[in-house]
Amino acid sequence: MKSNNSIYSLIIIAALFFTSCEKSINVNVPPQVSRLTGAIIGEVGTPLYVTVGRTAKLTESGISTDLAIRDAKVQLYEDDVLAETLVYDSSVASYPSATITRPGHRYKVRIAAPGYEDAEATETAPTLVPVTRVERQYDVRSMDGSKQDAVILTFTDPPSPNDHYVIAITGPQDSFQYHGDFCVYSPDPAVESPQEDVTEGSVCLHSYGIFLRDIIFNGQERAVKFYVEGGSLGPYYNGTDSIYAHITLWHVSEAYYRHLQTLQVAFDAGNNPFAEPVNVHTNFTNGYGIFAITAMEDREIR
Amino acid sequence: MLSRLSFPVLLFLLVVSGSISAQNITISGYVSDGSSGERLTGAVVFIPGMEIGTSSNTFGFYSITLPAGDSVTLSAAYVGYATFARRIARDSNLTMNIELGESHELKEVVVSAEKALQERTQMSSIDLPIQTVKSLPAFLGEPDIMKAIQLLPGIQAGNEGTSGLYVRGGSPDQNLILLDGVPVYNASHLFGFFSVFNADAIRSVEVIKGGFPARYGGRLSSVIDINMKEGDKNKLHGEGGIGIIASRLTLEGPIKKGKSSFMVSGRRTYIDVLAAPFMNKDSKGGYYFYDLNGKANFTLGKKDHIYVSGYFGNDKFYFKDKSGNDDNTSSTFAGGIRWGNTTAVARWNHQFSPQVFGNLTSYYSRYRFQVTAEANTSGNGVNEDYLLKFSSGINDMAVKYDFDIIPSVNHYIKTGVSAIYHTYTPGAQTTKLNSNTGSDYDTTIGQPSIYSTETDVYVEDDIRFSSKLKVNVGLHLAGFYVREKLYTSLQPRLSGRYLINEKLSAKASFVQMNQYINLLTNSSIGLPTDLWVPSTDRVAPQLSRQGAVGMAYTHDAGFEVSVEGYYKTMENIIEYKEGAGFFNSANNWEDKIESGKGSSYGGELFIQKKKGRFTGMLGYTLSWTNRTFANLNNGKQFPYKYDRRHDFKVAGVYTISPRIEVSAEWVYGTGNAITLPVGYYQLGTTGERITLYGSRNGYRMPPYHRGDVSIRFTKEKERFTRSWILGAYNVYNRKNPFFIYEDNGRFKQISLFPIIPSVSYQFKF
Repeated sequence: MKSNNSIYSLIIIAALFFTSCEKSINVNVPPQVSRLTGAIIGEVGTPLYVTVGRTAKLTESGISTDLAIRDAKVQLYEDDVLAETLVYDSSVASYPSATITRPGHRYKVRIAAPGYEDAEATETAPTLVPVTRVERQYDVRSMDGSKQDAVILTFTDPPSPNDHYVIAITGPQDSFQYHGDFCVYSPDPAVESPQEDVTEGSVCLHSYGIFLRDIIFNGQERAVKFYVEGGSLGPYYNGTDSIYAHITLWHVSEAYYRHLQTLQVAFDAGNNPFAEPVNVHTNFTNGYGIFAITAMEDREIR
Repeated sequence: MLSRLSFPVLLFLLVVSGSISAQNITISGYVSDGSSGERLTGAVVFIPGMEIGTSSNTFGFYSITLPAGDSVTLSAAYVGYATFARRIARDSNLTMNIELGESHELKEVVVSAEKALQERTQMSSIDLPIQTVKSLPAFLGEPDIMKAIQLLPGIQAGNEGTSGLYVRGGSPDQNLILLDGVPVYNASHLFGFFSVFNADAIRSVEVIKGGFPARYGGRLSSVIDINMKEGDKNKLHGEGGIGIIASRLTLEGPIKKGKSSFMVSGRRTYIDVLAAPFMNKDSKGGYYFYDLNGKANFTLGKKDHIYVSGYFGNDKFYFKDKSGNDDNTSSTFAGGIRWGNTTAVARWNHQFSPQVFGNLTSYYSRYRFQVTAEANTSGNGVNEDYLLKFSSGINDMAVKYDFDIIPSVNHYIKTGVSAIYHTYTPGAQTTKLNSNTGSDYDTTIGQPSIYSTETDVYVEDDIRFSSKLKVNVGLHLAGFYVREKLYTSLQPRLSGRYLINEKLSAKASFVQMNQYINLLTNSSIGLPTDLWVPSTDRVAPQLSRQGAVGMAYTHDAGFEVSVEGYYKTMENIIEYKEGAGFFNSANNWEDKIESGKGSSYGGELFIQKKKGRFTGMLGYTLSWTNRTFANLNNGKQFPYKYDRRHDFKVAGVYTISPRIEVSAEWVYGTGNAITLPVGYYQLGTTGERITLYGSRNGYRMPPYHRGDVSIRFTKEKERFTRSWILGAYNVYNRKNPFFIYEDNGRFKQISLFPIIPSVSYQFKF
């Protein structure tokens, strides 16, 4: 009997030990007011497409959750004058405009929907910044045993201060071998990583979003050098043609620049429970999302 | 420049002390344990009836200057010892070395004269008796000094089980942890679950959380001053213990009887040894940590004494994997992570006169973190060897000289100068590949080492204005030179006490502290990757100002009660930017951090019973701690992660008989502040989900509470005394939160420790 008691005691202790790990808890999160969201990312010289939605509570999670709002009143202003009221088009799942955006003009989107506070965002369409030259130099440096090519992008920054750029290098997209994100390195002090100083040229930057500001080269021609493993750039021969990688230069507003940076940091932080959470930057008042107009130039990397 | 300034000051003080002594006589000497010969720090030496007293310094030296006249009684008292009293003549200077014998009263503390809580000028300071540390319930049976310190009011533990200290709203890097006067940079083993201090090797622990005397500098929030045992000068004896995860052994004894002694102490875990037989011979791994403490001291005549001591400890995690494949290829992969501290210090005491005592200290301290990985692949004509090494750390070399000058009963002057040369290694990585395929490489990347020099000069005077009013006034001048930039600071220190009656006093203090070193961590779990980095031209030194007021009371029944309120501001404190984490923390750390400011205020109650069969302590803290950073939380003030509104701790030890002792403790704390997601939205038609977070640290984890118990059975054998200790950590199996995450709209809590029973065996001879 005595030995049985000892065994039971051991079992209880072992059970207690292994039951302690994870449990669902209730955290008193005060109810959040649902707000309107907008996503407008357009190019200069093209019409805008406005996607309208709403924020959701965490408990609304699910594949079937539809946050889109199709009966909103969406107004587009150009230089503070109402240009048009947009109507939802299910074929493009958004509110398309007829207005063609023009460089230097100021646009405002105002969204209203029953049950929500009106939200609005303003954006000035940037000027196109032409790419002067794109040069590729083969096997110029070695890193971790891999040879890297240099890609040099040259452009002339406009005289206005505080210009923001986003650069993307994309592999030969029609190849299954060369697609997606890869590491790009740059020793240029104008290049910004959301978290790190990149000047040693050893910080891996996402190829789809490299950030650059004109603080140190305002109004001047600038040649920015990037290092990329040659294999990521191709070219890829598809049987008839050689497909080349591309480099794209977007001239963007500060708001969109910050939005993309915080978005990248948020995704990089991922599920790391020890990283501090990130709120993605928004330029909407009384709402969330982003209104961005960009001026883009794209070149092949040969 | 700074060190040159100190010499005129010292000269002046020496001259003053000499002139004052012309009309008086001075009684001086050392206070030591009558049995072991070990010198006692903080023993009270006093003249009953004259309201004159002092206390022995870190090396046991005391000096009392009083007017010549009729004979008087000289008394001395110390915790756990019988009071010493001897009639002495008062006609000329006298050297009187005092040997205290053990008290026969059970665990009694003799409280008298200067030593009494209400008598001290110093406030916000607690001496933690090492016997208390050993008597309290211990996690896995390992007594731990840092865990015992966490039981004090105003000091909070971080996450479950860890040994980090958050003192009055400060972060763990703001604690100056000294072992025999040497800074220890990473006081954690096993990811913070144990501290590096083996309780068997420790003689005394003092914790200061405010009202810092001018002799301390370099950190904002606390000083943890830990001293190792000196060793018994008269006879060899030892103690040790065998626990679930570790064993330890300490030996001490004379080198030359009565003149010199040694102490050596070692501790090692043995999970790796126990697990080894059960492992596959081709796939092995393990973890262990060990500590080695050593100390020796030598008396060189009546006026000189030399101490040499050191600490060496490491954690090591290792693995090795060997595999063979069907295609005649084979591979081995081996690696490890190793981290640890090394400290070494030599101290030379010299008594210049009955009123002037000097101590020269030279020390070295190093913390190093290393990762190694080696791989070999061979077969099918390919033979490749790969090697990866990463290391980071910090080391200090320092020299300092400190004087104690006691010109009269109304002044106790301490002054000194020090210079520290810091070398920071933020992280360097080497990768090598030797291959017969011709793709060799050998690359080293990382940030270069940073060098800095820190120079400090201080002077403080404990001034007795009357029998009721004492004030300690001091100045600490610091200079820090890094990357061709010089930071200087002049830090005023002021504290005082007014004796309302013989049992009750009122106290107040104001201090400014500067800190030139930062710890990059966002884990609070004592990871070895935590990185010490200096203030630089881009990262300004941290600064704090703290004011405190309080009352101290001692009751005849042996209760000491203190109540304190404090307000502390902090500037240039650092936090990681949003999204930044500790991975790759070695890279470009200056770009990952934000500088801001913080504040903390609150009240603390501490009741301690040191006398009788039941001893214990109770602490309660009510506090508010906030942070403000321009680029965090939209620039709005937010609660610090360890802002804890209520923090309650109670611990007690009851001696049922000389053979049986029971102890228990219970802690309760408001849940940690946490940032939680509150909603989400989808960006555009692609549906990229973006999470919305509430205000930074705007929510609370569930409260933390836990109870621990232990019982000790002691038996005296013919040649030794042995004890069996049975204990249980988290005795009612509370599932305390370690961290919380969101999963499909629900919050889930991860807990770490359930009830953990322990048994250990201790012996003493």
